[in-house]
Amino acid sequence: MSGETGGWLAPETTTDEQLMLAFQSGDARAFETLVRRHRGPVFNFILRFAGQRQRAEDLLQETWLKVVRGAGEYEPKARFTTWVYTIARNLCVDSARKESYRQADSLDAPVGGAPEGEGRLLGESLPDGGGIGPERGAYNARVRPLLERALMSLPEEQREVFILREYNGIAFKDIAQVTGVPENTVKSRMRYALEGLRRRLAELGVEGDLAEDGRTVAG
Amino acid sequence: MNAGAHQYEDKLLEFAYGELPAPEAKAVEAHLKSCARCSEALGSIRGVRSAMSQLPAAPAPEAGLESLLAYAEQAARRHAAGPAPAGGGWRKWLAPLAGVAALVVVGVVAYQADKELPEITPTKAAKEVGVLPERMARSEQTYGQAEPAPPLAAEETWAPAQAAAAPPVNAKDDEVDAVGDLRRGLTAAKRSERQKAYRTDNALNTLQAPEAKQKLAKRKAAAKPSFGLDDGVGRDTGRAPADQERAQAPSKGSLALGGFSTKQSTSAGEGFGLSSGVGTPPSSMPAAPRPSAPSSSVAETRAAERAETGSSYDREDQSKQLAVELESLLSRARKAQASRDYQNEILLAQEVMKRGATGYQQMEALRMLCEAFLDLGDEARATPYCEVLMKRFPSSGAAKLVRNRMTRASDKKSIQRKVELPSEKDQAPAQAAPEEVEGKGHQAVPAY
Repeated sequence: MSGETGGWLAPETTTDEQLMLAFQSGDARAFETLVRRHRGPVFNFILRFAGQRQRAEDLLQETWLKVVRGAGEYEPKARFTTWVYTIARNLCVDSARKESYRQADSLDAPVGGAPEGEGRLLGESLPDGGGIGPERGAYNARVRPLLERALMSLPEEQREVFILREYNGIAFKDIAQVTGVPENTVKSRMRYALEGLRRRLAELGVEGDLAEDGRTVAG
Repeated sequence: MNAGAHQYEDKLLEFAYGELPAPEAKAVEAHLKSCARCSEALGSIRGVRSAMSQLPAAPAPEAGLESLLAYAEQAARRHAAGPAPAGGGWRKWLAPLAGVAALVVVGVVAYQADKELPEITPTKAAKEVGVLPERMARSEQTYGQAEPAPPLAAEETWAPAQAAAAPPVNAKDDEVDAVGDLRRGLTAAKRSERQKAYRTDNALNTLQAPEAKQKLAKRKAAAKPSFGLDDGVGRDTGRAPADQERAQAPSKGSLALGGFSTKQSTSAGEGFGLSSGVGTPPSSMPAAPRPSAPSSSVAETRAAERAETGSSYDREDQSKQLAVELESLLSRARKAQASRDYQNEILLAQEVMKRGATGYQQMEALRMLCEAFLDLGDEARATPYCEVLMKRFPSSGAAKLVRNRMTRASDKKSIQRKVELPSEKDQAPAQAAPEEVEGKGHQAVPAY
C-alpha cells in the first residue's frame, strides 16, 4: 500500500478528519490508517447490532466501500466517526429490514440449522478472553450468551443507542446525528435501554453477580 | 432508575457516562452523597454497564481488508488526479489570458499566411490529401503503442496492458505531485490556447475576402475527410482502413467468456481508440515515416498540426467521458446488486465490459458478473468471469473473495438463494444505498 503523496502523516498524532482529507487528496495510506483505527470498533458495532457474524462481515465491507466511494464528498464539518457510524448504521437498518422479510425468527434460530457463520449469534463468535483464570473463563462462557440475548432483546432503536454509547464511546449528541433524532430522544432511549437490560438481566439471573466489579467498557 | 421529578435524576445518565461539564459533575457528585434515591439510580446504571461490559469485543475479520485497501488505492489515485484545488488570484486567470493572447497571435499569423498562400492546384491538393492520412496514422500511433499488436485473446481485448492503456490519470504514478500538477496545468493552458486559436482561425477565415475564402474552402474540402475536425476528430474517420477491418473482424479469442469479442469491444467504444481497444495500432499499419512531402506553406503545416492536436483533445475527452459513463454504469450495477436485482446487475456489468472497461472498472465488472451468476446459482456462467478475474487480477482482494466464494459455491447458501430469489424479488423492496434511501428508520448520511 503506497500513498501518492510525499507527505506521510504520522498515524498516532493525526486526527481522523486530517486522515480523511489526506485520503481525499490521494494518500491511500491515510485511508489505511483510518481503517486500522476504526475497523474493529465498527465491526463490533455492526456485529452487536446485526447479531450475526456473516452478515456483520458483509456489512462491514460494504460500510468501508461506501466510505471510499463517498470520500470525495466528505467535509470535516463533523467527526469522521459520526459519518462512518451513520453509514454503518444505515446499512444495518436496511439489512435488518430485508432480513425481517426473509425470516422473522433468524436471531433465535438454532445454530445448527443455518449455513456456517450465518446463524451464529454474536456471543458465539467472540473470543473467550485471554489472560483470565479458568473460573472466570467458565463464568464468562456461561454468562456471555445471556448478555448477548439480553442485548438482542432490546428494540432496535434502543439497542443501537446503547451499543454506540456503551461499546463505541460515541457521545449522545453524536449519536443523535448518527440516528437522526434529537439528543433528548437519544438519552430517553438510552434510559429505556438501561432499564430494559436491567430487567432482562434480572430475569436471566445474572444481575447480582455482574454488578460486583463495577467495570464498564467505554466512557 | 424509576421515573421521577428529581432535579438531578436527569443528569445521572450523562454523569455516569462522563459527559457532564466539570462544574455540573461536581454538583451531582455532591448531591449523590446526600441523596439515596439518586445514588440508587446511579448504582443501577453502573450495574447494567458493568454487566454488559462482559461482552468482549470480537476481532474484525481479515477477509476483505486487502481488497478494500486495493480499492481505496485506486480511489486515491482518482482523487489525486482529480481537479486541482482552486488556485488563488492570478492563477485562475492565467489560462484564459494566455488563450486570448495566443488567439490574437495565431489569428494574425493565419491572416498573413492566407494572404500569401499560392493557388492550390488539384495535383497539389491530391498530394496533400495523400500526406494527411499518414500524418493521421502517425498521430494515432503516438497515442497507441509503438509495437505491433499480437493476436488478441478476449481478455486482452477487455483489458489493455494496464499501464499502457490506463486513463491519463494513472500516469501520475510516476510523477512527483507538485511537478505533475504543474505539468497538467501547463498542458491544459496549452490546449486551451490551441483550441481557441483554431476556433478563431476558422472565424477569421470566414471573414476574409471571397477569393481567399474560396481558396480556403478548396483546401479544407481536401483536408476535411481525412481530419474530420468538424465532426469529431479522431473517430473512425481517422482510422486506417486496416484498423477498421480488424475492428470489425472477430478476433480469435473472441468466443471465450460469453461473447465479449474484440468487435464488440472496439465498436462499442467507437471513437475511443485509446481506451476501448488494446491501445496498440493494428499490426497491419506500417510505422509511418515522417512524410517527406515538402510543406508548401505555413498554413499547411498548421492544418496538419491542428489535425493532430485536435484528435488528441477529443481522444482525451472521450476517454474521460467513457470513464465517467462506466463509473455511472458500475454505480447502477452496485445498486442493483444491493437490491439483489442480479439480472439488472449482470446487464449493467456486461455493458461495462462491452464498452471496453479497463483496470479497476474492468475488475469491478468482472467481480459483479462472477458474483451475480454465483448468486443466481449459475456456476457454469459465473466460472469464465471468475477465472478471468482471478487470472487478470490475481493479487486483488476481489479475486481472493471470488476464489473463496467459488469454493463455497456448492454450499447450502447458494442453493437456498437460488430457490428464494423469485419470491424475494417480488416481496422485498429494492434496497438502495443507505444514503439514498428515505424510508422509515433511515438516517441520511450527513453531507459533510
